[in-house]
Amino acid sequence: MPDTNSSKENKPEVVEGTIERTRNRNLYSPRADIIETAEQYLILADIPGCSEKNVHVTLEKNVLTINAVTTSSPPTGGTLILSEYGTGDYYRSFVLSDQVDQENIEAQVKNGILRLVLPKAGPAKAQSITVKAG
Amino acid sequence: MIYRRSSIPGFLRDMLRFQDQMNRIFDASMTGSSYQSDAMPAMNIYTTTEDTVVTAEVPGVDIKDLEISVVGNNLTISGSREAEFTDENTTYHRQERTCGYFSRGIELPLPVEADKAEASLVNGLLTITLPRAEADKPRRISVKMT
Repeated sequence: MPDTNSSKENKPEVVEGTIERTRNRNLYSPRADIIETAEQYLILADIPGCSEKNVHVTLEKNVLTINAVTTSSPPTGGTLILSEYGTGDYYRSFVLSDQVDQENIEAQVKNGILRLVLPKAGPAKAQSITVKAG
Repeated sequence: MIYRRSSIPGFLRDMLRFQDQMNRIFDASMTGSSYQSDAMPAMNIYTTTEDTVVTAEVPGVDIKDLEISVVGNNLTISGSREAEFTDENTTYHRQERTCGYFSRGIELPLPVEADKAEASLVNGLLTITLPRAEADKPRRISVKMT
């Protein structure tokens, strides 16, 4: 299941020009794991600072897109001494294959991790057939 | 090459000093960039007039797996994040998130009162508020007309 945005660094910034933005905030590509089990695909994406109300997952023409907006803000009146990460919004898209049952995708956000469960469509599911005595 | 001090001509001494400084700059930047690894949580530090605030991104870490300790001026954040699956039927097509134990210590820029520190974990974002030590808070000095 290829994705349209390959990234190796820690929360890399999406390059200007690939996505046009109207919000004046940084845009990051969240780190994601893609795991396949016998019955489903699983995508886990790190989106710290976002709750489930601020995450939008859309599926259109086999492209699954994650859009998340952070609500955290730096403390008021504070001076920044050390900054190792930036805060901003998250965007990442994946191209799904026909092996995914697109009607039953589930999404869940907990502790700043987005968990997408993509069940496998019928023929790809590993099925064991019980053998009956006849 | 090692020269005896008295025999280094003036211009060469300057060049050697410049070379030392360049080496030091590169050493510092190398260790600086190693902090970008995902194993240690990335942190931001802010100071206000009342306290020092440290924020760190730790998605997926439960409160019970997180340990924060302050000793003097050093803040240590450690914790662990467990991997999702470990049985043989799962295949990782892509793994960008790290799992396991992490620990990071950082020296705070200003003296703080460890007893009154507070921490909160919301949506994977850890915020630690450390009030500044009383003696260290800035004080206004009023100017008297004489």
